[in-house]
Amino acid sequence: MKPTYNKILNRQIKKYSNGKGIPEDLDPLLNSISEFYDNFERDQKLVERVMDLSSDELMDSNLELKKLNEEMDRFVYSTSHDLRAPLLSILGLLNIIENENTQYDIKGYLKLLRDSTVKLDRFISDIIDYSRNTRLDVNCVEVNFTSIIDESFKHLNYMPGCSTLLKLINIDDHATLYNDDRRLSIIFNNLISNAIKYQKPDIEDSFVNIEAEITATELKVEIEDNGVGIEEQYLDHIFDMFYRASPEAKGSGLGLYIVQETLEKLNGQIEVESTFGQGTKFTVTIPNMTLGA
Amino acid sequence: MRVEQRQWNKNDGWQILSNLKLRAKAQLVFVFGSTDLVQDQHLFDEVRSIYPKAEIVVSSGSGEIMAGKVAQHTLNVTALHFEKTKIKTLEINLEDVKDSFDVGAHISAQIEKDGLSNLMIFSNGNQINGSHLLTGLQFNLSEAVPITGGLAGAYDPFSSTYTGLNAIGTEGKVIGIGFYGEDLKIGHSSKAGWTPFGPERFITKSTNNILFELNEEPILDFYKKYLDGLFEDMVEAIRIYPLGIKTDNGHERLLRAFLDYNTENGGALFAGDMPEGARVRMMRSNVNSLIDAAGEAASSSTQPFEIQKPDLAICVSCVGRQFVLQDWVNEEIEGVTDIFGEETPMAGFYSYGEIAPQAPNQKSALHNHTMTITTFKELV
Repeated sequence: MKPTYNKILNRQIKKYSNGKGIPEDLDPLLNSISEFYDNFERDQKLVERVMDLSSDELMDSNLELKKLNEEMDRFVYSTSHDLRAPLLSILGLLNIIENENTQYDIKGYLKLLRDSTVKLDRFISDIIDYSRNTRLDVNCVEVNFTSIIDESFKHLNYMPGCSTLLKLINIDDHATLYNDDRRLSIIFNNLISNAIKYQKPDIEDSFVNIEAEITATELKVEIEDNGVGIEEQYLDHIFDMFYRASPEAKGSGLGLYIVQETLEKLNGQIEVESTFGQGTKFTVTIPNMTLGA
Repeated sequence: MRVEQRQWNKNDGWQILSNLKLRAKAQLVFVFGSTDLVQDQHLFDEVRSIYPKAEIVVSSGSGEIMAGKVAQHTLNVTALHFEKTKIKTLEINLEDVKDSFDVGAHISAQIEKDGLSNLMIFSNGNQINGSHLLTGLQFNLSEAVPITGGLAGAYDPFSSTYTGLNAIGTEGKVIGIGFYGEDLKIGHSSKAGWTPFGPERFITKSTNNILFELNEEPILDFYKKYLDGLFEDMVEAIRIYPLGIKTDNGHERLLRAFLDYNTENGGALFAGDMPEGARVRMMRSNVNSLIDAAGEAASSSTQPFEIQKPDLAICVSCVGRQFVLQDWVNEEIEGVTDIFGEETPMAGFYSYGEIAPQAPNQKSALHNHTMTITTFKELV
């Protein structure tokens, strides 16, 4: 049987032996040369692949760094801005109190001082939530979802409009939920507080309706309100960092961004439907984990 | 120091390579051979009757190195007579102690340390964790005492290996030889001839010598990205591209030979520890650079130690090199002979792990994929 050599070696043999072929006793030599050709070609392919993969990795990490850098830029700009605003109003109020006649209603000023301080505190809490989510690993435990929602309302009870808001909660649990309870709290605190914050001022039957279903594979929660709604043009941006859909928006601009980032850690998803002037519905789906995941 | 050598194979029986009539004057005899021959009681008895007073150190290999050639299915006997140097030997059985570290710790504790200038180790290759053995050896021993030698080998990958002291080779034994006095110069060198390629990765999940993840990516996925499609058998492919651990010693990397992949737990078995947090890159080589490295090992086992012409060179090369060299194994030994000259006696074997300091005056380490040479020169 005629031995099969590497393609280029076959060509070389044909070319330089003028088609006469090579004596059989040279087979071991040619086999050895052929194997080196094969290995050389394979090594070349390997090096090309290494270079391709490394270049892709470099591009990816560059993009990632760019994104982080932009976020950091926006973060520094917005935080300094947002941290300063309530401080300036506190300083202004302190000036007034110092210069005003003491008979004036100090209590009213103190309330304004408190409002500014609460705003500052909320903003800083949001930043802490954000940084906690980026830094900490997912900690999976058995979760009582009803108590997560209850705790959220309890926590948000001091917010104006919370007590008068009609709360409809329906939780169908067909399976035990395993997940990261702290992260779930962050997500639903934010979504519920939005429903409280953005009620329509001119109606009395404001509601938030929470429908949850827990199965062995996932947790699905719909949070629907009849609040002010979001204009269609802004819908694509509401999950961006420091994005506020309107000048009247009262929050830090971090809330939905944190929800999105936290969901990413839990491999969850969020969808939003909204009609301006009629209300908003968020649908959250999160995979049910197993213990130790 | 005088050295005489003989070789046995089934067809020709004993071949005398050099005869200085050492007989009862021989103090130390190295017996390296195939796994079946080192277990042959009759052959051992013959060696014993020729060298009635010597300490006989036996080790199996996955190929035998003798007189400038690589052979298989032979038994190779190298007898040494020292004029002034004293030696002491001891053997620890893995079964009698807790683990590989403990084997090393026992040897380093029990070996006489006054005037100890060098320690040679010949260890079982398949039951002993070589990295732990070395940590144990260094536990009770000054770093100034170089440790050289290797783990025994076998022709079939992962099968049993055999070592023995004054007895035929058996499983689970580790033998230490201490050399004493200032009249014996001992040189050593360990060279691989491999170069790193591809990105640097961190070991993020491993247990001893089983590696699971690099940068949190399963080890097989990592290799597949690079090697899929270029090779038919992924396990064989990974053997050609082992990993090199970054060390403090400049660009030199500590090579780790890939042995096998466990599909059940996703673990890749390496021939030495793969500590979490260590930085690794894939390594590649070719026949030329392996042969050149063997020659470099020969030069650097003599020059820095001011040894002109060694009386004896013990060569421990890696099974993984055989895998790349294939038909060219003899050429790597020729590379060594070219440096020492044909008259220098040489003996050794292909091993599951080589032991030597990474460089002169450095701590000894377990290597893979290297040619590791220990040279002897007695000043008389």
